[in-house]
Amino acid sequence: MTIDPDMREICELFFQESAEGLDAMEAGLLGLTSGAADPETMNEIFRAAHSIKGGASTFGFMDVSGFTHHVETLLDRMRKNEYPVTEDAVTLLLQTVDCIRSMVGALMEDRAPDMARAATLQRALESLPVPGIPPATTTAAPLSQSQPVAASVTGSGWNIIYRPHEDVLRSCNDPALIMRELNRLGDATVTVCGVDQLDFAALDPETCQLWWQIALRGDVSHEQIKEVFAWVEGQCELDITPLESDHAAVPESTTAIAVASMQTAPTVSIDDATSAIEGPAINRKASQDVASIRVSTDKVDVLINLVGELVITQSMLARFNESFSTDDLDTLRDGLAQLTRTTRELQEQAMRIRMLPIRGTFARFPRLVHDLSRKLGKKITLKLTGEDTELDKIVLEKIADPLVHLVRNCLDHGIESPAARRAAGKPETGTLELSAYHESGTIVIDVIDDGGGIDSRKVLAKARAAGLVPEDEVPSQDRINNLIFEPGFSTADQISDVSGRGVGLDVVRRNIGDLGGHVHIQSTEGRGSTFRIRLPLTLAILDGQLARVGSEIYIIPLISILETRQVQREHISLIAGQAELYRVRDEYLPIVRLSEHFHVPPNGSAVSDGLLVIAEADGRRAGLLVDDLLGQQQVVIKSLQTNYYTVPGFSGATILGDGTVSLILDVPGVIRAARQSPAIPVQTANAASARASVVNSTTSTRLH
Amino acid sequence: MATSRPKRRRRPQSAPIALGTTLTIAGVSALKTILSRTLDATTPVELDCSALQVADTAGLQLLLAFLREADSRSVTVTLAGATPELAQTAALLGLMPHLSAWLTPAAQQ
Repeated sequence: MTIDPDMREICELFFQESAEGLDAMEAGLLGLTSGAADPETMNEIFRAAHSIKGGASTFGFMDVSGFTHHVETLLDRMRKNEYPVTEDAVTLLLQTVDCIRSMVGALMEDRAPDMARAATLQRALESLPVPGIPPATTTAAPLSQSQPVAASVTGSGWNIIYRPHEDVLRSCNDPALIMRELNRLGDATVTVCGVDQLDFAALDPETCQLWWQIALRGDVSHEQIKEVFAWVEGQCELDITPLESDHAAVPESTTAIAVASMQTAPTVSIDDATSAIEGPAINRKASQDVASIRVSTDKVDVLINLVGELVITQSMLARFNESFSTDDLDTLRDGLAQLTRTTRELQEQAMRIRMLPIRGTFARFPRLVHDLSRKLGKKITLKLTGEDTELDKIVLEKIADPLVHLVRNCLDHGIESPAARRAAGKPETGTLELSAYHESGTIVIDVIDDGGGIDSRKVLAKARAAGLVPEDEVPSQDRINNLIFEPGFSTADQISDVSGRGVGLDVVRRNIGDLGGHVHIQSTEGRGSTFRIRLPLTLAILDGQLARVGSEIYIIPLISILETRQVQREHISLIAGQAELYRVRDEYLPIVRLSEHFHVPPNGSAVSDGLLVIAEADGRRAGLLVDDLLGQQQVVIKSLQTNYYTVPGFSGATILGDGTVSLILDVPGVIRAARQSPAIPVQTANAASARASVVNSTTSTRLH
Repeated sequence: MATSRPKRRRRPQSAPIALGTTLTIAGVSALKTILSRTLDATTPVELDCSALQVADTAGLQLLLAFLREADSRSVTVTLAGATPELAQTAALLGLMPHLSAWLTPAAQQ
């Protein structure tokens, strides 16, 4: 279905709201426990489904509204305690949530929704067994007095459920005309429903109280049928599903439950379970691609207040334009101070608009843990803390996949089976904790499990076999733990269909590194592991350390800096290939002379004249030799790629307070290059051109 | 659900109610008022459909509701001279199994 471009914007609202509604349904369903339904939770789930159905119907997405209607029917029965909350029912409802999500995702991308999947789930909904009643024969038998009114249908065709809204007749859209059109398309077997509910005394004769189930046989396309119903779009609930060859009977009363044997209800295979697990991640990604964010009115109010203050300050300063005497100097100074304060605050608050709570990203994990723990036969409790911690929208979107990978890894390899845990004297139920918090201007996300931890001996043996660690080296425990992030590192028993999908933890580390963050693991054998991800608050602003190299001033991201040291000659060792190593405590780190690396003439020729910035990226450390450290400041990142082109060794540029342009060091890139070859020169001319481009782009921006 | 054929009773019959040429949404409100009055009658009711040329969902829905109500009150109703037009619309809407008890075989063809 193609959405009218004029409607696109308003449809985006529906997509966003339905994504939220589906999240609410999923969260509610996961919170249900077998037995009696918690009325409040059930009502919440029902309301979410009802809103999605209503929204879909309003926007003319009849496939979505028709399918959701069936889901809503079961939810309605559950909240009225007419149907019990069973594990099977909850699992099925979770699958329907995935299905609706995929249908909405398809609509967003102007694709046709997967109606076959919807039809299968719809049949499963209709044939949910009633607990306590033994399964009947393989054919569906109605529970209520209502008879199945459709005859058996064979051959290809469509099963159409047409429920016109009550006021359809007043708009002259007579269902009889629709039936006539359908009869022209193929062989229609029409079954009228709702006759038993007709009450002559109460009947408003101008309203439609009937609805229809039509088995349309013949070579008819879905589109042809939709065309027939185009006149009543928005005035009916419509469900078009492929006709089954065995039977297409529906009970006359919608509230009747068909009792079917378990064999007839679709069972969930491992593949289905996997797709259900994979599904939400993929579809959520689609929903997150909507280029809009919801901003709380509080944030907007703060911005408006600040803009108001800015206007006041501006008008105060504007009067100096007409007359100025030295007596006004103090007032001018106050005004400028006020301007500085307001501007800084405005910048911070404007940045906050892009900040969203991590709650949305965390929301996928209860489902993931629920499904995976069932699949793996493990008992796992998930704890989420710090869900209100805010992150930049882009960071939030990009951190989701690495987090999913880490969580899967913890569930698969970290937490042991109930039997193994019992044997180790631990409670059968393992705990996985996801926690987010702010720490020194960065965001920290911890993924903590109380599983078996990392088997150091096995990891070291594998690393030695893979040539990652020389035979004679005795690495520290920390280094061993972090070996699992090395490319190509895997142990044979680590590969499973849960986390062994060809994407290693090295990719996780690379992805986090691309966001300007890093991941570190702490593990105690037998007691569990903690993956700690540290991320910058935003990708637009960076806390930087200004460092002078020769006549150049570079910015080193603070997040990469571990410490800085005065160089002591006795700690330097030379190894073959002219590489210099610096001993820091028990570790030897390669020295990267930035002046040589970027071909900038250094101030002093002696190493001991400089300062060593110990930086870490991708789990590797190096000492970056600079001439001087100038200060720390927050800098606004200007893209080199947009204004010029990518320059190796630099991740961006910024404009300093005095108007000069400074290049921001790409620490992972520099360390990688230094490890590969002692000096990969970057043409000074390139760096100079890059600076010129940033200045030009900024000037033109200012002129506009 | 098919409704069983109502019992015909030999009673003095009131004057037939002529449905006219149309049984559509335009006249259903007025027709309901007329039909409501007959439900209290003790005499069988005859609806003259012989002039019917056009029927729609609203008309047939009202007719069916009336017939079921009358049946539940044991009021005998006959549809006199039901036309093929009426039957055709009823068939399109899947209403024939519900109306067949009142329709003559000629009209059902």
